[in-house]
Amino acid sequence: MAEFNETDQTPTVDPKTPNLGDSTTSSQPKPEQITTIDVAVPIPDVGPQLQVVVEEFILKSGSDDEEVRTAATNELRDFIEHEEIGITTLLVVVKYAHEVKNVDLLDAFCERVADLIKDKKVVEVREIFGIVNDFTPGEEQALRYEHPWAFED
Amino acid sequence: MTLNFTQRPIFPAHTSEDNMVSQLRTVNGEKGGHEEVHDRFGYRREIVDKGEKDKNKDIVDLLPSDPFGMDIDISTTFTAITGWLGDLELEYGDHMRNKVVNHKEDYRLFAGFNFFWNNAMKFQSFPTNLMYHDQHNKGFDRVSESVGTNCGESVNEFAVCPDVIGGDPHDAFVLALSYLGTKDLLMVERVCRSLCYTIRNDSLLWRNLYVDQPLNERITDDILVRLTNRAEGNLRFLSLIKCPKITDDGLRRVLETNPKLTKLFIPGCTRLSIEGILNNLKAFNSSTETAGIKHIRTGGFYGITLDHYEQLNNLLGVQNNKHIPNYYHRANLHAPCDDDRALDVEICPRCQNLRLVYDCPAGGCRPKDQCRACIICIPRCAECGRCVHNSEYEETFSLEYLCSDCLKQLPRCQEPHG
Repeated sequence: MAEFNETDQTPTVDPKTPNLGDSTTSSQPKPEQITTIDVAVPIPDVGPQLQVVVEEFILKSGSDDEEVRTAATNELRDFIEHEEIGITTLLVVVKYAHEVKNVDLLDAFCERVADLIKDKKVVEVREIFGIVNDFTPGEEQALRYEHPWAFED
Repeated sequence: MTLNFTQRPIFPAHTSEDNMVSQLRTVNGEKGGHEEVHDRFGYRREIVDKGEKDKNKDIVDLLPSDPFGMDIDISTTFTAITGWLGDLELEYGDHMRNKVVNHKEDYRLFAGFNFFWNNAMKFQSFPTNLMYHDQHNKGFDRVSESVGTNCGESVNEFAVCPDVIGGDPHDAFVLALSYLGTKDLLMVERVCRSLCYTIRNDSLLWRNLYVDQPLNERITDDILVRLTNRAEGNLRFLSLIKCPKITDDGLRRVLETNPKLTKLFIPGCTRLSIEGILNNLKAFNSSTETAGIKHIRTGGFYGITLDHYEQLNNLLGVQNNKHIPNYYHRANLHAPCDDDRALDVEICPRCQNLRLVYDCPAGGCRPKDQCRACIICIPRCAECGRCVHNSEYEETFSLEYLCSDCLKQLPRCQEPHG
């Protein structure tokens, strides 16, 4: 599968998808190009609003200008904080960010997922993430005694 | 007034004020006691009786906008709290009724407030503009989640991961693990087998170990050694903030099995002695396997002498005295600065003792290189780090100094002076 390397300053273009906005000629984002971006690894279906946000972010994160990148990161984090993004969607974007190797995108979304895990109880995490408990009762009991000191409350 | 728990939708985690208030509306049933709330705090508020349609605005109007004169938009905050309390009543309703004597609505709210405040445990952060300390912040969403669980349905998108097939964690879940702290990692171990295996065996997750609240008080030498062993010899950064049970011997054992350690933060570990540190460092740095520890934060040791200081500098290989400015901030007291300095203690230019020395950030200060000293010689603003000698300052209730500029930026807790 063609991979789009996002961590370069000037994003490399996969020859199979020549219409990568204008990022080959200049690393500055051109607003009029944002909506017509085709990326080598297509962003999975995450809903129209989030898709636009992610696309925009990917474009800006390839910029040379650190201020642009920082502003884009802050914007993304604000968006994540204020919008209700479902768990599945968050994880889909995390996986996508990992595939395209966009560190900032990965950081932002992973931190959000981590926030959802922090300070929760085991059953809550299972509930939220839809994970089934596949331990036997004996194993669970043993685990409970593994780190009792970490769970004294 | 008895509670009238009507059937109601699950309290969503992210919601506008109105929605939250509407939950409370239903919980509290008929509103008989509005007028009492109206004057309870001596604030004149308009009671807007808009009838059925605008029921969900009533409680907001009734609550005082700024009872403590803090000059903030507390209506948002109180609405959030009342909504939260309404939810907690679902869970703890019986308990509350027994506890509270005065059944007036407002009193119940605030008595409940105290009750839950004192019993708040681990909660997740609430996504509104609450001004409370993070730990308390975490109360809110936890409740909404538990309400979801208790009521057996999850309308809240957050509570369900519908596309997970087979009950296994999503592939991307493990990517988020590296963003978790020690305590959460240990918790997630218990979620399912695959996660347990991943967390125990992925040494990358344990390459940096940060021990802070609340585990710091409980961690012992044995536990520390077990955790550091998970890094399989790849531990790079060990941060032990205020761990009173860690001894010199425990640290020695960790160092023996982790030759790649380069950063060691041990502020507030009261059982570690300066001699013990020096001995451990000598043994560690002299071993050919190790690159040696390059950065150490002690948080200031009592009884550290000039001789100790020189030995430390030698061991850390401090060659140039490149000066990196270090600014005082109350946060630095709990979590040391992770900058490039090799050692945090220095010789105070004024008293010649070995302490943490701070620079002055203020532009208008006397020549900056003269405004360098330990916090005892030059008291500083806890917020911006500026020296408080030549400027207006105030000692706050928590016995820290705040300069006039930082004072102005605080939410006002009292009547303004003049």
